[in-house]
Amino acid sequence: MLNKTTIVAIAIGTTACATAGFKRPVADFEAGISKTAEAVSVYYAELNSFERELYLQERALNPTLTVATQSGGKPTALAGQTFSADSIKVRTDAIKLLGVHGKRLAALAGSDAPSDVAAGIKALGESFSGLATSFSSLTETDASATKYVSPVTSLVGLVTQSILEARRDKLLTEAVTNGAPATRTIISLLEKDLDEIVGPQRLTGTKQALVELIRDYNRRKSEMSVDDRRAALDEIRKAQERYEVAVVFSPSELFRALSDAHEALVTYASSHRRNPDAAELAAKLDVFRERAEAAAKEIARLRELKRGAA
Amino acid sequence: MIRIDSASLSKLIVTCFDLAGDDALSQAQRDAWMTTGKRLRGALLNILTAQFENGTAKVNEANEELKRINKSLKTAVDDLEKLKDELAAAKAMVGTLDSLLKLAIAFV
Repeated sequence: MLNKTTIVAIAIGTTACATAGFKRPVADFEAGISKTAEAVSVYYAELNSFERELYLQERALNPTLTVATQSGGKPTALAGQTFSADSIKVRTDAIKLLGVHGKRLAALAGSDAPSDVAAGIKALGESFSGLATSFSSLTETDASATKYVSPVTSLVGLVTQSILEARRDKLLTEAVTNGAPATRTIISLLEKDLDEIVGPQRLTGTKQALVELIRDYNRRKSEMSVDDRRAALDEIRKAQERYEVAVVFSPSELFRALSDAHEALVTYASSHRRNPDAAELAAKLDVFRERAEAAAKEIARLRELKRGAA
Repeated sequence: MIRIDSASLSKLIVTCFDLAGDDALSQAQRDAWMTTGKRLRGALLNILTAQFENGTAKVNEANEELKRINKSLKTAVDDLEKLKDELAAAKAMVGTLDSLLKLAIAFV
C-alpha cells in the first residue's frame, strides 16, 4: 500500500514530467524561430551594404569608373536601397509572430501550461498588434507586403486572445483551424521573397566580386611584390569563400524545416493532449533548430569574412 | 502576377562570370563575358522585384529564352563558334529585360 509521502512524490514526479513535455517543444521552437529571425534579418539587412561594397570594389579596381550618388536620375548602389529598412523589419517581425503562435499552440495543447506562460503569450502577442497595419502602409513601394496583411491579421487575432482554462479546447481548435493556414501562407511568402529576390542578388554579386578580384590579380601580377601578391590572393580566397556561403545558404531548406516543425506542432496540438510524448514533434523540432543554427552560423561566417576583407 | 525567372537569370549571370574567369578563352572573349555578366546583373537588380500580369507574353518569352540560353551554354563551352552565338544572345537579353520594366505593374 502506498503511503502519503510516496503519493506526494509520484504526484510531483508526474507534474515534472508533464511540464518537461510542454517546455521542450516550446523551447526548441522558440530557439529555432529566434535563430531564423536573426539569420534572415541579417541576410536582408546586408543586401543594401553588400551592393554598396560591390560598387566601391569595382571603382577601387577600375580607375576609369567614377563614384556618384545619382546616375541617370536614379540613386547609385552607393546610396540606393534594394530593400527598405521598413520592409525588412515587418518581415522579421512576421517570423517572430510565428514563434508566438507556435508557443501558444504548444501551451494550449500541453496539459501543464502554467498560467504565467499563458499571460506572457498574450502580452507578447499584443506587441504585434500593429504589424498588419505596418504591412498595409508599405503596399505602394512593396507590392508583396499586401499578401502578408490577411494572414498576419488572423494570427495576431489568435495570439492576443486570453488562454482561459474553460475555453481551452475551443481555443485550441481555433488555433489549429485558423492559425495553421495563416502560418503556412506567411512561411510560403517569406520563402518566396528570399528565394526569388534575396538569393539571386547575393549569389550573382559574390560571383562578380570574386571574378573581378581574379581579373585584377591576373592583370597586375607581374608588377606586384610577393607580399602584394599574397595579400591579393588572400582577398581572392575570402571572396571564393563568400561565394561558397552564398551557394550553400539555402533559405528554402530553413523554411522547409520551419514548415515541418509547424506542421508537427499542429499535429501535436490537434491530438488534444492525447499524445503528450510527441516523439515526431521532438524530432521535427530538432531538425528545425539544427537548420536554424546552421543558417545562423553561415551568416556569422559571412560577417567574419566581410570583417576580414575590410 | 508573374515574375521573371530569377533562378534562370542568376544561372546565366554566374555562367557569364565563370567564362570571364576561364583561361581557355582569349582576353577579349573574357572581357566580353565580364561586361555582359555585369550588364545582366544590373538588369537583374532592376527587374528582380518587378511583377507582371499573369500571362504577359513578353515575360513568358524572356523566361523561355533564358532557359534556352542556359541549356545551350552548357554544351557550348568547348565550341568557340557556338559560344559566340550565345554571347550575342546573352547581350540581347539585357535589352529584353530592360524593355520588360515598362510592363511591370508592381515591385517587390
